[in-house]
Amino acid sequence: MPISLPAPILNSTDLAKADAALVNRCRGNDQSAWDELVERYQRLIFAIPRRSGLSEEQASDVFQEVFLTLFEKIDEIQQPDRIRSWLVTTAKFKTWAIIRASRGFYSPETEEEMAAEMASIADHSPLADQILIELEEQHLIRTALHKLDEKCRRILSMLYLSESTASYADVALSIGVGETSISPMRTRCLKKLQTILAK
Amino acid sequence: MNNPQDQIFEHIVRRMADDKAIDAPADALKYAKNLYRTRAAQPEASIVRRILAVLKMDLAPNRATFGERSAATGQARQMLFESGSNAVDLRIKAVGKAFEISGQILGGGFENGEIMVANTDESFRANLDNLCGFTLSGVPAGEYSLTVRNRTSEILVKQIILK
Repeated sequence: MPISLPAPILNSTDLAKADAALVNRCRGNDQSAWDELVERYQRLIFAIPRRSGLSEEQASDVFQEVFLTLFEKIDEIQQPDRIRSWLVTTAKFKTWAIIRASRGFYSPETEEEMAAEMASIADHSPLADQILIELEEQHLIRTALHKLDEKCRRILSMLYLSESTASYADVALSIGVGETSISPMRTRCLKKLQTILAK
Repeated sequence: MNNPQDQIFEHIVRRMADDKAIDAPADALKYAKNLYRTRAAQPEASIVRRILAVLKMDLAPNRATFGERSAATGQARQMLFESGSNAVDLRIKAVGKAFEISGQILGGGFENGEIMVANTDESFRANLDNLCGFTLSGVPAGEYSLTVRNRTSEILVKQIILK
């Protein structure tokens, strides 16, 4: 049964601070910071239109429009530490515009109009909040994984991220330890990951 | 019943296991990254003093210019550009299918600055060290501009052809 524990993950202030630092570096014309920002968010931003049922081509359009808008507005964003929310809202907005246009509905032109429009729509929409929370949490976990040491990153990725999840024996072989060490190492690595997410 | 700690672990593990997000298509990713290149190439024009660098010397590898002995056995192409009170000393050598560009900004003032080699498709950056030295690796053949920056000045080499 699902438990509701998103708060400690979604409120990770360290990751939000790291985002703010990236935005500030972008404002200083740092191309490498921009590349990192795009890399960091590309999966999340692409996943939003895809999970809403848009085709790969339409999702690519949304993706490019989101980053074009970010490029145009990066100096005006008031809370750089909330860039994740800004990107998610923008992606949601642009996804909705495409969905509504494809259904022949009126498509609001401003974010305010769109927010009002979205608020009046029932939660069984393709962009239900629960899906967004899940996508955002997955994004934060992926980002936090990159902050782990190499060994922990490999253990957790092999056990849980790979398409065909590896056995303890596979992981033990991969990192050169005995199989019985994997269980306690896994627990330690999850603790470290949780600490990063909770900071 | 699991304790709260286990529940959090389970929650994280479930999220990881359900993570089916895939990379955005390469061309969309490239578009997004390239958006910034024009901006990054034009920093605060009102503040930064931009100086165009002029080619003063170009020594191809294994071809000595009159009076130059060291070039006879060198594997790197050496180019020297002058820019006001500074000069850009470049060494370009082929490494595999790409090129390595190394060198130094002579004349001081660019310690810990930044160097960028770019064209319309991609860019390569490196920070200058305390002696204004740098190395950029893995630069594919092509035509590039080169920019060296500190907080107040920018040296621009308009064209470098790697072939």
